[in-house]
Amino acid sequence: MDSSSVYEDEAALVERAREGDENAWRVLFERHRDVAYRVAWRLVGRQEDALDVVQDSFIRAFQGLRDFAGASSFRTWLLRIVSRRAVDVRRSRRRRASVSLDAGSEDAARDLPDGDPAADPTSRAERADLAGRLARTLDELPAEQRQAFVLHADGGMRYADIAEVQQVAIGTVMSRIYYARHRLREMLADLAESDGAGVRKDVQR
Amino acid sequence: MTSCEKYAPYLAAIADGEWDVVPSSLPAEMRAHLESCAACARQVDRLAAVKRVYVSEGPPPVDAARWGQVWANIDQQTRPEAIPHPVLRARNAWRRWAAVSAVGVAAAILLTVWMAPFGERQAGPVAEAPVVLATAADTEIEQMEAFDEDGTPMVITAGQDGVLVVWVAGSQAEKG
Repeated sequence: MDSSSVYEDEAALVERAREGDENAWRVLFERHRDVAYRVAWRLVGRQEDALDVVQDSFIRAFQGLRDFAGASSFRTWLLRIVSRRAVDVRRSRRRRASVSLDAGSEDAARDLPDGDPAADPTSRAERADLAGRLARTLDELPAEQRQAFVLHADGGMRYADIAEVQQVAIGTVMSRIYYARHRLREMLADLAESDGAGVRKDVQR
Repeated sequence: MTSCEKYAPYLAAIADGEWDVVPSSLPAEMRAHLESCAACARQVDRLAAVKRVYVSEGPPPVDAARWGQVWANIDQQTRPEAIPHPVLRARNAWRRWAAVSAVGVAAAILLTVWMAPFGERQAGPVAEAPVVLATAADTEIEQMEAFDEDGTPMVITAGQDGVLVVWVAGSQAEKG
């Protein structure tokens, strides 16, 4: 099946969903939940928060289907909602953290991948270290860079679609993604050098 | 400015296959440069590798039961009674209608229900426009449930001579 027929299929599915077809709603959910979850998790860090964002975003998307003009794909539209909801969650969490005595709660609460249980402990520790550093580097990026990079790398969105979501020129998206990746590369290069074992040579300076 | 400096801003986009970002005057020139410049080609490879490493570290998996909970919550909060929208209200009505449609198969119908106040009923209209609840080529309605904007249930049944009878609690109104 080529990409155009996939798109037609998706357009027909969205149209059925607009008409209130419950099966179409379910199919849309199952088709897009994973990418929505991945984007949400990158942006909010905690699994339960990410699932809340996914749930809320689908509810908003289905309730607003009549306003969906179909100019972009359903996924682009959904991920736009996801990224906005994630911003709200981060904002409210920051507000809570500012009145909390537990200053480290934000960082400590980030859920990291479980890792491969079959891997040896050293390997698991290295992966956990890598995951933690990736998460921290992402958290330290300016919000617009983080959103652009996550929508691209995790959401699989084209630069042009991200430009539409962020309402900026495509060149601005290019810069945001470039600087986000540049920062990640610096971090990975530091990690590779500190490992001393030559791992991740492909990202070294 | 050297060629390398000139093309540097685009290298990450090239690594992403986003040639559309490159000004139309440059792609051919850039491709030729990348083929001959080992430093720029290596830079493209490194930028691509960064994304590969990043993507390899995904979120914790979600099991089927948890996804089931998420869907159940979505389904519950998007049920017709939770959404003040005529088309979505029709969603539930369609399901109930479909359950009874097998009872009768006769004439072709095109049912357009104006959800404006019926007869003596004083409640405001649910929809500003007619709502097509169902179309079918060879079925007829025996009974269908619908709701007004307050969630008050009504039952629509087929009367004689094509008259639809709308039953609301404590009243009966007809619309031809």
